Order: sequence, then structure tokens, then C-alpha cells
Amino acid sequence: MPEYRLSPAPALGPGAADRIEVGSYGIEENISIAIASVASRSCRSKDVRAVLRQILKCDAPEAGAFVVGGGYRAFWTGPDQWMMLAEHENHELLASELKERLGETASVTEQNDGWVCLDVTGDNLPVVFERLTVADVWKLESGSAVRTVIEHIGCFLICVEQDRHYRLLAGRSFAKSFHHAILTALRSTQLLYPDSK
Amino acid sequence: MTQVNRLSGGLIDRSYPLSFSFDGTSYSGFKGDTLASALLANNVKLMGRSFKYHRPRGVVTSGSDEPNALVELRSGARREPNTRASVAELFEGLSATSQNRWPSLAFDVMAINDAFSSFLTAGFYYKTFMWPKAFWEKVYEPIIRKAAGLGSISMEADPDVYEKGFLHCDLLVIGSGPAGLAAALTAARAGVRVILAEEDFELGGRLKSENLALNEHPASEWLESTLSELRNSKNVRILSRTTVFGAYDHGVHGAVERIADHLADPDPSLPRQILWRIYASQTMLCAGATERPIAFENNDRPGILMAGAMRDYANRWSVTVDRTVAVFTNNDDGHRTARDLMAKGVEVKAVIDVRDDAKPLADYPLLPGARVVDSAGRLGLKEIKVRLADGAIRTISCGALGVSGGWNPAVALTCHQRGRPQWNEKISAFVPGSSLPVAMTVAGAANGTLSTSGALQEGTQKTVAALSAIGIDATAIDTPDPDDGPVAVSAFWYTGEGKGRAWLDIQNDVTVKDVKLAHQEGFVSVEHLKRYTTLGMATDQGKTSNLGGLAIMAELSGKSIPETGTTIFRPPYTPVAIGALAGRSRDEDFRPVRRTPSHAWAEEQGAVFVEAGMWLRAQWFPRAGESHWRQSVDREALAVRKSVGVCDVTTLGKVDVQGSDAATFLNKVYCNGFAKLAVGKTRYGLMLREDGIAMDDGTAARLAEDHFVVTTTTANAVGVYRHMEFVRQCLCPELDVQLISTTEAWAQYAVAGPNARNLLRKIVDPDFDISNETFPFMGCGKITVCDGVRARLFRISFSGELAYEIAVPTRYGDSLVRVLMAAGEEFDVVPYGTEALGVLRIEKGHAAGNELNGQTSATHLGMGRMVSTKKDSIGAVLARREGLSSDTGLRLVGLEAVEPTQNLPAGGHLFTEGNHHIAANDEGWITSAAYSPHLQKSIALCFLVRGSERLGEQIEVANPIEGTTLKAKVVSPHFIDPEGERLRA
Repeated sequence: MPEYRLSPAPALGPGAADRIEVGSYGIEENISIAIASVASRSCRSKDVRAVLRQILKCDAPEAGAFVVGGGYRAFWTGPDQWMMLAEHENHELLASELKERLGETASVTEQNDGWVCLDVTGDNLPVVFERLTVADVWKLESGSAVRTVIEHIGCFLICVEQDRHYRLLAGRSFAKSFHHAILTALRSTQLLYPDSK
Repeated sequence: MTQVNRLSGGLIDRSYPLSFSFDGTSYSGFKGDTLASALLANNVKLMGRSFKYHRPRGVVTSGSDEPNALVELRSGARREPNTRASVAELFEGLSATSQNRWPSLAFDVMAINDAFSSFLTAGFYYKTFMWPKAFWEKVYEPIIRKAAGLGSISMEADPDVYEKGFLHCDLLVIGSGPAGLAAALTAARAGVRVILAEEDFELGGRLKSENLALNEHPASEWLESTLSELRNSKNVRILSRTTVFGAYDHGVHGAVERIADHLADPDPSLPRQILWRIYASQTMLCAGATERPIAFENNDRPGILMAGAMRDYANRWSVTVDRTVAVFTNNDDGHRTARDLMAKGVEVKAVIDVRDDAKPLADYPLLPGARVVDSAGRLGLKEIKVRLADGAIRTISCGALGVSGGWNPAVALTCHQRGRPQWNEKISAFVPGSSLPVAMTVAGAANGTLSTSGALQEGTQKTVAALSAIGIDATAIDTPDPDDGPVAVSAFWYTGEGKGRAWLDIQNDVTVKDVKLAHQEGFVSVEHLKRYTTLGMATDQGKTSNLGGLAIMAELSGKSIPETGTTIFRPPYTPVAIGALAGRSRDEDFRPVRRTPSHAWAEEQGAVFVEAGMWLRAQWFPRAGESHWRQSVDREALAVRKSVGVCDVTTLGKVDVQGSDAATFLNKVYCNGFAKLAVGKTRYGLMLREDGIAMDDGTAARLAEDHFVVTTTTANAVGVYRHMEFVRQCLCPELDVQLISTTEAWAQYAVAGPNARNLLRKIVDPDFDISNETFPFMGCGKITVCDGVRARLFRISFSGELAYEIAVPTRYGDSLVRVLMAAGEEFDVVPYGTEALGVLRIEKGHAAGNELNGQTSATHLGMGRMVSTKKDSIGAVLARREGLSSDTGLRLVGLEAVEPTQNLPAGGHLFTEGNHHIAANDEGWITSAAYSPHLQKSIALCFLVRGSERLGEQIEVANPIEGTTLKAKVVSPHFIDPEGERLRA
């Protein structure tokens, strides 16, 4: 039995609240996601897409898109580049798993802990996000993903369910500031629209 | 009796009385009132004092163009100076005070300035206060500055919160008058996304102000039905209380929405205002027009206001400024004021129309071909003097005078991108020119169309065209027929009679005489006129005054008004609170903070933090009994050299470099060779800019043939990554290489000191041998720790000691530092912060940001031989330039203070002993300095001319900021372990 053990902590820090509710809105850190970046190597785009199609059970997402399939999720991050997501519990070694399947066709990098992932739920959420991002959130449909900036913090905004569920990924070190920015907007919106559902 | 000037009708809610105070006196008004309308209802005409002469002043307009009725609203920290009473929405308990007066508004001591007005004319401060010269800075300027300004700020932090946001639409409609409503309705029915922004708290524009019929029904009926349809259209967003203050590139507009300004007791967390950035595919500017005055002697008395405003107060707020009024006009519009007031029972003493052929609209005394030449009444208008058409003077007693000199289209937003308005002779006003901002269309009065019928038609027809431009089919709406017609105007700017002052800019106290003086003294250009007289430079930006001044200058210089031109219109259209521009970026939320994985633990230890970019890093960890930072830092540095210390180095940038050409790529971006670096090894690398200057340094660890992890300095993490992406995408697109940042994916700690290995052995899983033989200096590899947690280990040293950097997935970062501290107890492990880190690296002679400051080359750093000549790399060729590689150039060397009690100052300049301390003799500077607890003296790294040849020489260090000079000895930059035995142990 080793003398020392390491225990994981959420990006928001040890002891952070799991979920905070503001009226009908809710925000929580999603700590169950494994992340890996995939970038096609030169002239191997077709090969990479073929493998991703097998994994995702659908085509790899194009610019601005987010797909779910085969127990994985993916969104586009650049030309022939994607971020792959899966449940951390079963895929902590997601990067290794993907690398094994993609071989020399792609560069794969573990990103599990590079990001803080926040899930924001509630009704009519574009009212909240229009206070945070220049992205046209009213036009974001389910299955969209955009790279944007919120309070000076670069992030990905994924529309899981239009109007009702958005997932945000920002650099992990920004976790508290990022969470604070979103939470402040939720509270402000709640005050501005107390009757909104 | 309260509200003696309240009339019947209007759009106020009489079932909702409100009480408020002005200068301590309580009054009552109604919901829907502005502060100005409520004060007028209570027969309060005197609302302020002018800027320079402290002349008594009353409200002049009924909108955001108000120059006079500026008050301080609220109290304490929420006090807001220079608030326009004409747009301040009345709420229960509103408290306002007048400003720029002492001791009271009615009796203002500073009104003595008025008696000295002949000494305070335009540009007086350019001509006076010239001597004695020394008095300017210490006497004159402080007095002038103290006297200047209107309201005063509270000097307390603004307690309100502000917010920012972003909106997108197909069509932005600015203004909700007839043109704006027609535009919005047209677009709404076309199904496009519409934003209708209105600065007022009620929509309708002049439809609220006019006694007007549309399709033979009151205009209010069409207004209500239109607003109802718009409100029920899901594709329409109505923003009332929202001023679009600027038109910027690419259809971007700035707007401020006032959320809580009208609330008596807003929730402290409710944003007071929201600054919106609106992205519009098309914009319809329907901002209306501003009525302009006619200048005559003493035309600034309380009770003299715009005729349109007088009508607005009567029709919308059911208020008359006085029970007996007169109107002075050069156009048909003034007659409407007289007609409407008469209809409400106000006595109209006369309508004075400069036109000989003026026709009355109702049964009031009309004086055609006449003009007002003077007025009387110290704190409020009592009477006016009129020069009749036959030359006789008639005195008319009245408590209010409505003046209408015509209307100026609100063209400001059309000019924010350097557009120039065009002169329209028909209405004697500037209208939008041909160079409008991209995708902007102007309709209604803003376009010079001064009739309701024309505004409605333009609003819908131009919207159809604007939407067509972005591929949207829309159909013009059926506009109602109004019972008004175009306004006939006869240009008339000032009466020109009398020796007294006729006021143009009544906020900044600029008179007709001032304009004449400017002309006389050669300030003829409009831009010179503006600055010499301050015409249009007040908080209202001259909305009511500019054209009058230009017209008079045109007349004096013998040019036409369009030849004379206008000054530049710049945003914001109306004042914007600094708080709104800042939004939430203030105090602790000024900018986001990046926290290291050990942050929570470091806080528990009482660490003192320092900002490093956006990062918060532990600077030192004070312990009980340590009262000075040096005590903590000395202790930490000594402990590392003696046993072992742990420092969070997660902040260093980490770039994952993969691909079959990864090594070739690194060979390109680093000046030293990487192609032959073995897997499992790390190498120090120096990156140069294209011009040969050192850009950044770091290490690259080869984890596989096609996989490296590059580290950068904390400060340059983003810059280096950006540079590498530039090289990859633009300079070497043929290379098969992929980059991604992993800075935050791994928590990384430096474990440094003679016991570093012993400490790590306690947590590294037994499968991994980290002995010196198997894991030597500059080794790297993937390992596991604490029973299977994945980790990366790098045998690199910044301190000069036996050292490692260990990285684990960031989620384990907090736990790892706690484990290291617990496991290291037997070695007296200490955490050390950035200060000790700095001391250790200076002692070792490692360059950092201070040395890589954008001025120095590899040769200067003593690394000239690292720039490989066997390969091509970025910056290598230009690094060989003589100035960057000369034998006689700067070299990085060490300094020791000759006098042990003296501290070498970072930034101090270096001179050969005995040389004058002048730039010509300057031989270098100190880049980094520290007290070395190990050597027990002040040491420094510096760049010194021919430094490496001057070891042992005593030089002078000048600190001109503090006026001191001290002696230092030139030594090797490697103060400890120059042979590197410790780090290889």
C-alpha cells in the first residue's frame, strides 16, 4: 500500500459547490469529461476522417459544428482539427485510445485537464449569453460550437440544446474567474427578467 | 398650490403621483413626468446657472439636446452631476440639486463674473494671465481649474454595477418617431430580426408631442396599434431608454440602455446601465431633428425655450411654462405651438414671425415681419421687446417665450465615420451627405423630411430598399395620412440689435459677439472658431447652438454656410458614463485571474501573491516571526540550496509539438540544434526573432521520435505559441507538424535541492528508476506516481541545484503539492515562491525575461556559439550582424557590490570608474539584482560592454533616479557552482 495517494480536485478548486441555481438557471462544473485534441497529419485528412467516422458513427464535424455519436462527442477546432470528448470514467486515457486507432495519421494530445467545462442550463439562455459573448447566440442551434471570448477569456461555446443547455470550455486556470463571470451574468439576468422561465 | 402650470390631457399617469425635491424643496409630479416637466408644472423655471457668467438659466428643450437645465441627481456616492433635467425620468423620492452656484441658485455670488464679462470674452485665457510667468502654474491655472466645470462628482467609488452585451439584428432602427415606427413595422412584417432603439422612456418620438391626426383619428391610436403589433412580434426587440451613441465600422453601433436610472430604490445588483454593442446588417437612422434658437439680446432668461419643447411640454406632459406666453418664429412650426397652447387655455400674447407673409393657425395676435430684440426678468422672463414691421418697439409682458429658428436634422451618427453633411437650402439646414456609414439609411426628419407624412413614407419605403440590399423581400406598409404639412422656413439666425449679449451656446456662454471677435482675430475656420470660443464644446456638444455660430461666421466671412462647413461629429452622441464603458471590468473583476493548481494550498499557507501576466503566483511564503519579505525569501532560497524546495511552475508555457517533421520544425524555430536530440532527453533552446534578437528561451523534451513538449517562459507563453503557429502555417507549411498548447493540462512543480531525488523517490512508483545513472541531468520520461497516477518527469534545473520538474494531470495538482510537502517533511522541504526562484536563478546566472528584453542577442547573452551555423534557423543570419555579434559588444556578466551593505539597483547604469555619468560613457545596465543569502551580498546580472573581458574590474553603478553611485566588481554570471556539479549530482 503506497504511503501517498493523489486525489483529484475540480477545476473550481477543492470544495467548490457542485451546482449553483439562480432562479431557473443552473451552472455546474462538468468533471466527468475526458478530452483529447486530434489534428490530421499532412495529407492524411481522409484517413483521419474515416477513422473518426467509425468512432463517432457519423461524419467528423465541420466548422462550427458539434456532434454526438458512438459514446463520443466532437467539435471542430480548426481545419482538420477536432476536440474529442468522452466520459472520463471510462476514457481517462482517451488520447491514447484515439492515438492507437489513428496511428500515424494524426497527432493526438491529451487535454483532459486543460479545460474547465461548465454546463449552463435553464430557459431562454441566449438572454444570458448575449451579455457575455459577441457570438450570435440566438442563432446557435443545437449541435453548434463556436470559439469566442467571454470577459477576456477565450473559450468554446457549445450549444447542446438550443436555448436550454450550453457547455463552455475555457482554460482551466481561468476556472474561478470564468465561473464568476457566468454566474454574475445569470444573477444579473435573473434580476432583469425575474418572470422569465 | 402645487402644479399651478399643469394643464389638462397629456400622457402622464395622474393616478400615480410622485413626490420629489429640488434644492431641498419638496414638489409633486406624476408618473411619466421628467424632472423638467415636473418642475415646470410647479412653476419652477430657474433650474441652473451658466458655465462662465453664472447667468440664471431655465430649461430650453424637452430632450437630450438640453444645454441648460443640468442638475445633480441623487446623493452620496450615487450623485450624478450634469444630469439633464429634460430627460431625467421622475421617480418617487427623486432628489435633485442645482449646481455651479453658491450659496444658492437664486443668489449666486459667482454671478459677479457677469459684471466682468467684457474681460472674459472668447479666448480671454489666451490673452490674460501672461505675467508674472511663474504665476501661471501655481496661481492662475489652479484658480481657473477650480472655477471651471459645472457639477461636482462625489469623489466616492461608484456603487452601481454596469454591464455590457452584444446584440445582432438584420435591421437596427434608431428612433421611434413616425419614420422609425414605419421602418420597424415594415421590417417586422418581413420577418427579419429588428431592434428598435429609442432614447426616450416612451416610444413615439414627436407623435407624442403633437396634436396630430392620422387618418382623421388621434395619432395616439395609430401609435398604440403600431406599438402593440411590434411588441407582439417575436422578431422585434424594443429597447427604450436606449441611446445609440455611436456608429462604428461594419455596422457596429454603441448603445447605452438605462435600466435602473428611473428606479427609486433599485436592487444593488441590478445593472444601472448596459452598454450594448449592436451588430446590424442594415441600419435605419430615424433620429429626428433638433430645433434651433434665434439669437437676440438676453435670449437666455429662464422661461425662454424652444417652441417645439414648449409644445411638447403642453401636449405630452400637460404643462405650460407660464400662463402667458409668446412665440418667436421664422417658420410654420412656431404657430403650431401657439395654436396648441391656446387650445389648452394658455394665453398667447403674440406670435412674432420674422416673415412678412406669415399666416396664423388660430386666433392669436400675430406680428408678421417683426422680431424679438430684448427681454427682461432677472430670474425669469417678465417681458420681451419686439421690433415691429414698421420699426416701432412694442413691449409684451409674458412669462415664457417659445423660439423656433427651424430644425436641424440629427445627422451626428451619419458623420461618425468622417461623413460630411450637405446643406439643404430648402430647410436651411445640414442633411446627411452622400458618404454614409456602410449599410446606413436615413429617413424622416433626420433626413431633412420635416413632415409626418414624409417621415412615414420614407420610413417604410427606405426600409424596403435597405432590406432588399441584403436579399430580403419586404413590402411597404400602408401609412396613415396625417393632417400636417411640410414646414416652410425662412432662414433667420439672429436679430442683431442692441449692445447686449445675444447667446448662441448657452451652456458655454458663447455669444454672437464672441463669434465676431473670433472672426476679427482670424479664427475663421470652424475648427478654430470652436476652440477659440468653446462654441459647441459643452456637454450638449452644441446641438442647439452650432449652426447659429456657423451661420454668423459665414455671414462675417462672406461665405455661404456650406462653404464655411461644420466641425467633425464624433461619438458619443450624448454623454456616456465611464462606468458604462468599464462594465464589470472594475475592482477585483478588472480582468480575469489565472490560478495555479496549488493556489488554494498556497492561500492556506498565507502566501503573498504577485501578478505575472494574468497569473497569480505565490511570491513568498511568510512564516511566523518573519516581518520582512527578505527574511522569507532568504530562508526559502537557503533551504533549497541546503535540502529541498518545491515551486509551482505550471505557469510556464507548454506547447505540444507532434508530427513527422517535429524535429525539423524545432530546428527551424530554435537557433541551436534539435534534430539529433535523443528520445528521453531534454535540451535548452534559444528562440530568435527574425531580426536576430533573442525572443524566448526554454526547453524541449523529446517524448517520442515525433513528439516534443516545448516549454516557454510564463510571460511569453502566448507570444511563443503564436510565433510557432505563424512559422508552421506561413513559413513552413510544407512541414508535417501539429501544435497545441497544454500549459493548463499539466500541473508542474520544480523540486530542487540536494534532497530532490530523495523526496521524489518517496512518491515515484517503484517501477521507475530515477537514479542519476538511469535518469541523468536533462533526462525526461513518462512515469507514474503515488500508485499509478500518470506523470512526466524532467530533470532540468533553473536553480542550479539537483532538480526535477514533475508534471501530473492538473486535477491532481493540489493533491501533489500537499503530498510533496508531507513526504518532504523529513528533509525540511519548503515551498518557495517567485522571489526565491529569482534569487536562485540569478545566483546561477540564468537569463530570464529581464535579460531577454527585446534588445539583446545570443552573443550578448554569452550564447553566441549556440546559434548553429550548420543549419538554417529563424534569426540566425541576422544574429550575425556586427552590431549583435561584435567582440566589443555587450556581454552578460555578474556584479558584486564592493560594499556588502549596499544593494545593487536593477536598472542602474554602468560606467568605467572616473568617467562622467553621461550617455556617451554609458557601458551597460543591470538587468536583475538580488541579495544572495548564499553569498551574503548584493549581486546582479548585467550587460556590460566587453563584459567577459573585464572580470575583476571595479566599475561604477549609477542610479540617477535616486541620485546615488556605488562600486561593483565584475564577476562571472555564475555565482554558484559554475562547473554545474550540483545539477548533475
